Amino acid sequence: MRDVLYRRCRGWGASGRRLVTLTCLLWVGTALLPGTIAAAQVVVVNDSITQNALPLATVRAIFSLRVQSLNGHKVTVFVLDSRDPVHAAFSKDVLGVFPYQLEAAWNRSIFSGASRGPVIVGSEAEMRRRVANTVGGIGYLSQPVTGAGIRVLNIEGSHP
Amino acid sequence: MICPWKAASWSMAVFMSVVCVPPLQAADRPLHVHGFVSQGYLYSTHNNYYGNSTQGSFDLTELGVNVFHSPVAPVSLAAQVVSRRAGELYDGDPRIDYAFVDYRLYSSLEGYGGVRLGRVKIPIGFHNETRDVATTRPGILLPQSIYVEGLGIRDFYIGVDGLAAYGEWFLPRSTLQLDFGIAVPTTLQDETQAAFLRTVSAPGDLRLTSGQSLRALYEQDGGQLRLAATYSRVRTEYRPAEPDFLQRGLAPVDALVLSVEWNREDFSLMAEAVHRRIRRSGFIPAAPDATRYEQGYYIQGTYRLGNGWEAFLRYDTHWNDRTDRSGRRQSLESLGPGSLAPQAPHRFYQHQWTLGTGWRITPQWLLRAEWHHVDGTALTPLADNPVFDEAGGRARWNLFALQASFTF
Repeated sequence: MRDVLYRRCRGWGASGRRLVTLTCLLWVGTALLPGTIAAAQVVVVNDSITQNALPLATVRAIFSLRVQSLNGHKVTVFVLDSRDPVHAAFSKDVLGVFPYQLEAAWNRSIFSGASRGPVIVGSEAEMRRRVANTVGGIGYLSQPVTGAGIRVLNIEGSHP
Repeated sequence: MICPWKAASWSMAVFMSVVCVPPLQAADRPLHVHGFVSQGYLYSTHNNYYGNSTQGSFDLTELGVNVFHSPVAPVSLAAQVVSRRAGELYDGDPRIDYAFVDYRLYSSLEGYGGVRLGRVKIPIGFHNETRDVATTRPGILLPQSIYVEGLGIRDFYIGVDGLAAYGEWFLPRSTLQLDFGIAVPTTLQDETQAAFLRTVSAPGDLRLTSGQSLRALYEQDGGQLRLAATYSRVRTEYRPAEPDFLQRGLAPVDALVLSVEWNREDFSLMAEAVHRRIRRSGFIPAAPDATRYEQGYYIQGTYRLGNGWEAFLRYDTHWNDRTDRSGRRQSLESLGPGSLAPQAPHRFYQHQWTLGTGWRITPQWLLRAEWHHVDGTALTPLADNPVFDEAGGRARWNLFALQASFTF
């Protein structure tokens, strides 16, 4: 039995070394990929949201799916794919929340029955269109925007 | 043991729901569907963990589908069905994980509050509400010192039939969240009963007669610092059948869990500690009443390496009785009269180091690998190791685990 285990462990040792080498190569390869620097982002809302500005804590709670209504209307949160540099920059620089924390908050919310989850859109153009066309819609863009149904929401106070 | 066809049909159902439901981006769809699938592989030396893992085991499968519907802003309905196959004890039978109506009584720019009625999830520490969802856990296996599986309180931990109330206050740099849950009396599931009574042949019923939980969670600077304290009070009663080799028994459990998390962009440090008072009266004829204090904690550092890769190191430790940390006294007692089964000292503590890595290939796909070096078996499933009840098993052992998980 001991011999069998020993041989099995040796087997693991050889394949383990290959796994470690492969893992290291993957890390080096993926870590060197360049990222894109995003411009300053703004929160955008559908015209049905009457406020011109909200406290940072409220905006964080909306994007974390904890606050789900404003003025008695349901809020729909639109976000880009969490790997998008605009999303990462918005999360860190505007909300002051690391993107992995935001994603953890979404998963906690979705899998404990607290919310429906955010709506993931494919591009900023789609974000602009969906927020403008959805009552209670809220999202973000890398440039200020004006147009029918959509406007910029200011944030009161700032995160450290 | 779940039938392979049953597992396959469940997997098929879940994947069909992925394929057949319209894209989740449809904001105006009234019913929102999400779910998860995960499959683990475990290989261990000396002791089994979830199935016959000393030979390699695939007995760790978790499936779940949930729906969410909000007909009007303050009201929502949510339900989730979960199948969890984990070794001999958890056979994968689908169960209703939660099913409740949520009514938000108050919502303003300063905070909100509401109530839930039905089968609700109870927040305990940081991970309890979503403990069966692999992607939300800090590793393949939850730190067992806090999120213990084999105690009679698991039913209370995974979800209770009752009422929950919640509230959150927004402060200038922080938020304070309070969660309160209260359970109605219910008969515990067979698997919980078997784990708690340490036998599958008890003919009576183990009932949850009362359960309450209160958690306070403080978050500063958008969650860079998170502090939580949870108190839970669970009362269970065994009602013997006629005839029965056990007599009426009471087992009140009171637990305090303290949690702290510090988050930086590349690094997170998380620690949780538990202090549990477990009393017992009755059950075994002529056995005296007993009170013991369990203690445990874990500390985990996670480093994010970029592009979805992370690595973590965790130390997790548990003592069944703080006055007998080596387990020798409890082992001696288990050899005496009035005991159901002789136990080795290693059955009364468990200390383990875990080194793990994870790769989030996409937001939906997560691959994980981890290695546990374990001393003790107090939190190792008895159902997978019947030899534990003959004073057997090994104190020092290793466990290697792989897991793939997908969420939608």
